[in-house]
Amino acid sequence: MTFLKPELKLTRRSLMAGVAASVVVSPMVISSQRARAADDQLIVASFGGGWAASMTEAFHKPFTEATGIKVVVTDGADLAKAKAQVHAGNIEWDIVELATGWLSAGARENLWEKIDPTIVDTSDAVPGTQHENAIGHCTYSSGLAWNAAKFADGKHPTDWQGFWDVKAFPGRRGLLTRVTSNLEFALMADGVDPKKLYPLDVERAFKSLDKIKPHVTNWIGAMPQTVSLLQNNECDFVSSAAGRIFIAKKQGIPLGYSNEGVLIETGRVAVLKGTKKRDLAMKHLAFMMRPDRQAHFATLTGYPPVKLEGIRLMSPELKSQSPDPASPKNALNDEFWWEPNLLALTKRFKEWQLV
Amino acid sequence: MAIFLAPLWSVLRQSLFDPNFTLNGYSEIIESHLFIKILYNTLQISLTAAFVTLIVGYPIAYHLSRQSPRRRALLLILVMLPFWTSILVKSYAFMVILGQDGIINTVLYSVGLPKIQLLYNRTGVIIGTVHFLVPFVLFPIMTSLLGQNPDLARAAQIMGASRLRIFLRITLPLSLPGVAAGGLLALVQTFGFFITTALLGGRGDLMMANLIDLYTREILNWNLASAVAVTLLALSGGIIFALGRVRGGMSAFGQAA
Amino acid sequence: MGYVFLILPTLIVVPLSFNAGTELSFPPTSFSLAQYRTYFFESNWWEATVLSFWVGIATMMLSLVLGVPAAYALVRADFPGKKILTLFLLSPILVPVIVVALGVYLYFASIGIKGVALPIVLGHTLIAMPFVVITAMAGMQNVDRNLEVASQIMGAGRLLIFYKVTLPLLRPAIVAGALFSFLISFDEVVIAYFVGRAGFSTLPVKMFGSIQWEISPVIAAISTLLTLLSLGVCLLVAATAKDE
Repeated sequence: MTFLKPELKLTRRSLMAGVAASVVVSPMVISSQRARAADDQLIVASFGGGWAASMTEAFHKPFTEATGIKVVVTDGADLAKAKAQVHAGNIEWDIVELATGWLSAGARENLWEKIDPTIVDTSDAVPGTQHENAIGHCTYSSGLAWNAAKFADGKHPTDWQGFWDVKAFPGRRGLLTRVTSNLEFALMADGVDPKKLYPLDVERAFKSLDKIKPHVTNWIGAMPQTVSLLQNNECDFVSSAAGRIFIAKKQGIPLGYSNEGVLIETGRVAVLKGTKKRDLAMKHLAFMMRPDRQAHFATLTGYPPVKLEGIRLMSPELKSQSPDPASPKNALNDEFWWEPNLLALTKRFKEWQLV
Repeated sequence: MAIFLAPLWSVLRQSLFDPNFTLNGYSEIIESHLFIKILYNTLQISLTAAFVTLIVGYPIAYHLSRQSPRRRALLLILVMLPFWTSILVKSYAFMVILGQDGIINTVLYSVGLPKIQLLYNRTGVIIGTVHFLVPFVLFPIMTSLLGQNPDLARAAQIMGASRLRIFLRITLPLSLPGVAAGGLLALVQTFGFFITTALLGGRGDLMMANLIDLYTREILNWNLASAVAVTLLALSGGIIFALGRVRGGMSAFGQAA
Repeated sequence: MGYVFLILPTLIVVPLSFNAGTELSFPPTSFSLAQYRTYFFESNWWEATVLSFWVGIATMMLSLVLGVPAAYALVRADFPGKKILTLFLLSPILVPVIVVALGVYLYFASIGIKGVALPIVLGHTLIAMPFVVITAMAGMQNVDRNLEVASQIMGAGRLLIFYKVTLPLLRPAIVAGALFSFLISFDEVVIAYFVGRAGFSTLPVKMFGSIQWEISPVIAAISTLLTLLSLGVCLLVAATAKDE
């Protein structure tokens, strides 16, 4: 018995860590707050973490101050759960933050209320960011990052052609282990016009990936690793996310991020189908489209506004750090192209990785 | 009873109905090179990791079994400490230790040896996995070491056998059931692993559990996810059964339990 | 050597937790308790801990209520299929955890998301109970059967014997089982995430929550605190073990 007790304890501990493990690679983020339906409050399902804090700061708190309507941010925004709520007719969330792919997948399942144009003004926005089922309130991008302490300007690639050019820019390369965005990068590297990526030429993309494959020393499983790999000199050039780099730079980690050749995606929110507070939710979405709010959000996160007026409100310094969606060197992600292709291409990408 | 059966039943049903009866999930698995390769990978990583774990774990278990109960309890606390650290920060810690500019490579470099790549390849996966698994194998091995009749070794000693000979001829063979049980526990655990491979592995390091996670949450194809899960289940079931055939295998597990 | 291998990462993590800022950095560039402050006072970390605590208590209760009698029956009673039932009860340990998690997820999806913390507790009980059964069975081996027989001769009913004789003798094993089931639940993340609903994120779920963008150094602080806690708990267990 003396050692039996610790034994069991430890077995269980190990089990847990194993389970815990499984969550990490999946895109889910959580912030916790008690949510209870009340007439004068909205429930927003969020990704949590620093993101939720910034959303609250820039949008939810000022909304409550302006209207008296309480906004409860709840954890675990999740497409499967949204689907379960709509199908069971048991609506718990009013507003849902959307990860890439959810707008299209959810639209297929009819999970989103139509945006009410009489309440929400989506005009004067970056083209391609608005949809009948969701507003876009910011843009974010994935692109090329490097250790700025190690590589002076001119010594590192600034676009995907440079990333692919191992002779001009020798160094260890890292890419995320997912098919989305890697195909786009491969096509841009191969000289496809970033504004004409879709429909993706899949064959050409994989051929292009073949060329860089031997030089990729790190296949990165989780986004935070992109920063720690650069920070600890494990890797020289990686694909990362602008917002991730923005936060790390704020903490004094010397990183560079190119505003060229980035893949721009839209940060969206939608109203869950069947909510009893549809109008109230639309009112909040309208508030989130305010240029000043979006500009504030940008100062917190580095994610630029979608409202052109909001972009004009950004400080010149912040603007210089933000990729320009209008630049001919940058691409806009089309999740509606990805939606029907994701399963097959994910499989193909994993197969490609294994060979 | 129901709470044990229901979840597994759900997996089985989901793997066969979508919503009508279908074998698509399974035929997808059988026909796909991807699954065959990943299955091969999974077995390779799991077996290597379990083996290395036993090599690393046995001396610790042996050492523990020779301690007084009180010292043993204290040492066990040490052994269990790693479990309290989230794998997220642990993967960062591994980078500090094993990275190209890490502690080990810095030492190697300073004594004039070449640096070695210990992370983001199969070695990284094995190191991370073994680190996690060692405590699992300690207990079964320790149980069978402690359960041995000390008179046997003493008798051999009196008859003039060397310590090494005693270990090889008496202690080790008698502890094999514990080794088998520990190996089994380690092996089955690794089937469920994938964060370690995702965080510390290289390009080719993909395991079955990675696929289950991917299909469950990112692609929402529960039919396929369930079929992979059932395959994994059958695999571990088969190994447990095979081990049960080995003399004493299962009883050792019971004993460990 | 083996010990060093096991402990080294923890030794790295502890200093990580005393660094200020929102990024992990080694060696630490500053000494601060900022991460601990964040844990105790910000972003609902503490609230998540409290939730985990209660779910853990509930899981512990349920696992004990179900597991201890099951263990008793398995050790004392003789019936056909006993071995198979034993293996079956212990099966969640042998099944890859990801499969269990998927099963629990699909099961609760199929019956619709009902209740609040209940699904998490049920899921956790599923994986915690085998440990209670094992500890209780092991403890049962140490209970002298003659004591039960003696009570029976003196006219006590089976139930009375179980409550008055067996249970008190099993106390150490039950305490250990209780501890394990609590800690299993306190640490579990996949089931808690899958079946949990709005407003119910347990500590581990919250810890893995923001991983998409950042590995918050708060997690290093939590790991450090949990390490200390486990040291305490283990010393406690070691101390009670001496009493036997």
